[in-house]
Amino acid sequence: MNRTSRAFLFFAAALAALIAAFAAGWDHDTGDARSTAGMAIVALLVVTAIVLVAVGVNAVLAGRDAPRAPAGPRASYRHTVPLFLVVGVTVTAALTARSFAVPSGFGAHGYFRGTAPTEARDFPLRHAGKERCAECHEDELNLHDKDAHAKVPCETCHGPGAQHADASGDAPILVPRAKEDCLVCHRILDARPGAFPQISLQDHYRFVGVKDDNVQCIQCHSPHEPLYMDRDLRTARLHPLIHRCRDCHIGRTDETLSRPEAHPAIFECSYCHKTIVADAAARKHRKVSCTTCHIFFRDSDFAGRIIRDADPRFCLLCHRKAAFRSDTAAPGIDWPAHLKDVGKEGLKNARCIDCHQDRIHTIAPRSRP
Amino acid sequence: MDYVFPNEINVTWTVMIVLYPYITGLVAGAFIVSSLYHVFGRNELKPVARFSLASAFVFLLFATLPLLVHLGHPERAFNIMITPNFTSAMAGFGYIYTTYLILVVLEIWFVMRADFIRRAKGTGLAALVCRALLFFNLHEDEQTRKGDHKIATFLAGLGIPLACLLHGYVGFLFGSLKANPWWATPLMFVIFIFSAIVSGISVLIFHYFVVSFLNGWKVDQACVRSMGRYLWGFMIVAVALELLEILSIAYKQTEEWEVLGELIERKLFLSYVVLQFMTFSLIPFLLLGIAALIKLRERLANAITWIAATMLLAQVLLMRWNVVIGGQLLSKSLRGFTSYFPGLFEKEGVLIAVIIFTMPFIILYVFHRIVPLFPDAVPKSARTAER
Repeated sequence: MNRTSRAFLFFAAALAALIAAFAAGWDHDTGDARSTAGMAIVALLVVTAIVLVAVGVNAVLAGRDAPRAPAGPRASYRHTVPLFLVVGVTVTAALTARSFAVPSGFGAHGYFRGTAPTEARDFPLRHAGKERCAECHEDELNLHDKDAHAKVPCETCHGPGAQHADASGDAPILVPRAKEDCLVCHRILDARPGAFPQISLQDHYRFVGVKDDNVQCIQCHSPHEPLYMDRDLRTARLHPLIHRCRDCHIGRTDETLSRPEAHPAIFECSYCHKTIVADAAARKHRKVSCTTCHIFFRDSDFAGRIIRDADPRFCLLCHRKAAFRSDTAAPGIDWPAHLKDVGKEGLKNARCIDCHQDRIHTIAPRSRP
Repeated sequence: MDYVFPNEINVTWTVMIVLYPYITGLVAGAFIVSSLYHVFGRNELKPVARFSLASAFVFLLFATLPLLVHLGHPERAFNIMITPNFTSAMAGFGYIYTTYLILVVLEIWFVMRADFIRRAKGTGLAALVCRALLFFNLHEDEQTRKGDHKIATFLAGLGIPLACLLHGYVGFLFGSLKANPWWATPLMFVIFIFSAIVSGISVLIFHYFVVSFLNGWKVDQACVRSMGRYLWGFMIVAVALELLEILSIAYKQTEEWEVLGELIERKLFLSYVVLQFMTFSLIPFLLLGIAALIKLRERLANAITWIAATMLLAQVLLMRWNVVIGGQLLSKSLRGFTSYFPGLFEKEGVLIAVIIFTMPFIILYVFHRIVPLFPDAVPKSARTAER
């Protein structure tokens, strides 16, 4: 075969590749381009056609030129056959293995495993739900449901409990006791919504006079009843939204009773409760902000619930006498001994504010319990 | 001006994700140098041609290791190839990476077949491995050499677009994230390709000098001079593109400049402005310019080129850092920043990064023990004997 006929052979092959590309690329019924894989084949065929045309043109030009000088020994490729064979077999094997590895149902709903929903449905349930917990732990649940953690499901802290419940309590369940466990939710972070209770350990320990850093949260706060509310959160009084400094100002801000100059009065208690705030400012608890005792829970974007807490255990969160608390902090009270001292021993409903109201503020007629 | 969303407090793409584009870039750059000889006939680069090819290979072997270390379930990495997804940029990377790895392995086979044969004729484990790699066919003559050369040239030519695609793709991974104003720019792909070439040439110059010094070889002046000039050219383009990108955003004063300006002035001032541009771009630019334009004494020119190459290695690493970490310091709210400082001993800390980055050099040494990467190296003593 001479150069010219070889060139025409190449041109014919290129033309065939182009025709094949058109045939592969377009759906004749709809006139649309076919799938991405189809387009990849088209691209490959077009590239092949271009290469074939180039080789053909080269052959024609070479045929026109004067007879070429001998180009030395011809290149041999026989030794490369095993290599390309191995590469070809490996790639084919990998692609074949891949096709087996593709999960069944892949592609049924786009680029997803079509069986994923059924697979997920068939996983055994790991969480039991609050009702199962209540079957054995009704007392804890009653405390839990009325206090600040009411909206936190049991298994948020205790982990999945289905196994524990199925084994009637014989299988172990997580009982977190370290302060780090509490801080997962309550550590102060710029990214948390300002209304969510967040603790800077350092500040909090200073405020309540804890001198030992190893003290755990649960030594004062019962996890099931962290704030000892004396009434159910859901029956607490509705109150317009209280904005805290942190709601707008990210970063550490001092929540003080007084607002900065020229700041709109949107969060001050004195805006409505002028008399009480003025009264409180003259008494012993003047350094304690209103919301320390009147805890606010945000219900919606407009309103929340406010608790006026008078349970003695709530007061004792600050005033409890304990070895880990410094003497210079709020006066420490040994509650049973104190009751005995004042002659109210054994009185179950005794409240601190029954005697010590004068240290906080007088009760205004508007704020009945 | 300080608000971050809760899921942005922690920087999740850490040192490992900085290392990944860095190592991938070294691959692309080293391969381009080898192609300059094999395809474009820059014969002065012959002394480092096989070295650069082998470097591309060993860096390629470790390019994805940082990603696997970063993953909690590294075995799931292969899912991107089993169930690929055209909406996932990373899925394409798996295929491109594999194709490129096959190409580089083939290229090495064809370029170094003669050396493998020489080694296979010896004894020992290495000889046995070489014989297996050659499929026990140790025949070699003028015809096979010509065939090998032709295929190697073809593969090297094919490798250039693939190398650009591989590294352009890494840029694409970042550049296509439209939610992040620090990343989302079409220039990102081009910047990544050019910075890859810069880092690749730099690591070759750096390593060539170190290896020559340790072995007492004479450094090939024409080769180093040529690499220095290529490095100068490519670094000018790379840095110019990096500056143009930021200039265009700054000049347009689009809304994202509000936050990007602050990012540069506050969070990245040291690593971006002071280190990446003022120090590790400006000084190598001047040094390489001096080496290219002024006739200096050999030793001085070599020292200058080596220092510039080493600084540019750091420049590219800083660039990767500023892209990867910088983009995550910025909140999607465009109103705040988080912070990041790498740990030394943590899972994705600096120590692991150093170990991963050292491994390619160890493999390269093993490679060199099997097939010499500098067959034409001239000992310094020979030079003095000539005189």
